[in-house]
Amino acid sequence: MGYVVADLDAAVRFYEGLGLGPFKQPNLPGVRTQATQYGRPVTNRKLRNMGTHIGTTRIELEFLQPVENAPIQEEFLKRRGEGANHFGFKVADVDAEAAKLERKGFKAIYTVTFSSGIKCKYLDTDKLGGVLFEFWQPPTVGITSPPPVMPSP
Amino acid sequence: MTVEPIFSKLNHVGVVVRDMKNAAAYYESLGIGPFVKVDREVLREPDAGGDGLKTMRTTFGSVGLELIQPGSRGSHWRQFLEEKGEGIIHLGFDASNVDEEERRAVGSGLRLLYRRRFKEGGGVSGFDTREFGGIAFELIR
Repeated sequence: MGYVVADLDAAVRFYEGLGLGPFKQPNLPGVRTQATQYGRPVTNRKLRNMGTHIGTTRIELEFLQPVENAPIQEEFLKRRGEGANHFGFKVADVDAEAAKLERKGFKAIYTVTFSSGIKCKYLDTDKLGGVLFEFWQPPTVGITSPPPVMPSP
Repeated sequence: MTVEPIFSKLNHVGVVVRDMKNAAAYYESLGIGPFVKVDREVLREPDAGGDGLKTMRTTFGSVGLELIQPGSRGSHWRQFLEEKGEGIIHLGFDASNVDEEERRAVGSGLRLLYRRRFKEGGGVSGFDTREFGGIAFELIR
């Protein structure tokens, strides 16, 4: 589950103080090979993000602080302040899962792929309920070596 | 002695919506559901914090999704809907003893936002963790 925050460090300090965490930067092996935002290629999108698993569950809490050219998070923050904006679902095939919703008329508003096989897609499911859906698939290569870069998704 | 963190077992995510039945149908069309109405009778306490809200629940993966349709004006839930629109309002965590864990949470400096106790036993207590991240934390039993 993803939160949008204005100050990542302050949020992490606060929630670690409540016993959650430790929060870590995501390990995203590979380099970004393609990204589109609202249907247009994007190269200069910057976000700071950290996540942790809640207790012993597989549910991850992720904080995202928009830095530059990240309108999905920037507009959410401007419109309604800090809050949770998406559910992320780990799937084997992002395109297949997203296609099920695209056939119902939903649109992909952000997609990104990495050379390691990581792919993620946000869909505009927030019209009712206010929550975006994100599908992401894990890396298929390079997961045993440290990533050459630590990009934001 | 180590003290268990209070917020460690995620029970559900609470989402405020205008119309619970429309929202349930919407999420069911997205493959999440079926939703069932939650009907736990609330004890009448002066600080019950209930506002006549209605809820429906389902489980997706290992976590619950709760749809909350606020009731009366001025409540925590109604205020959220009016100020921010529909969206995620709280994370609910399992409590083994909600009174005891509420005391620990308040003792650690968190402000109590609402409290409901159920006739059948158990209850919920909501805490103001909104300063960072905008989402309340709730304990539920």
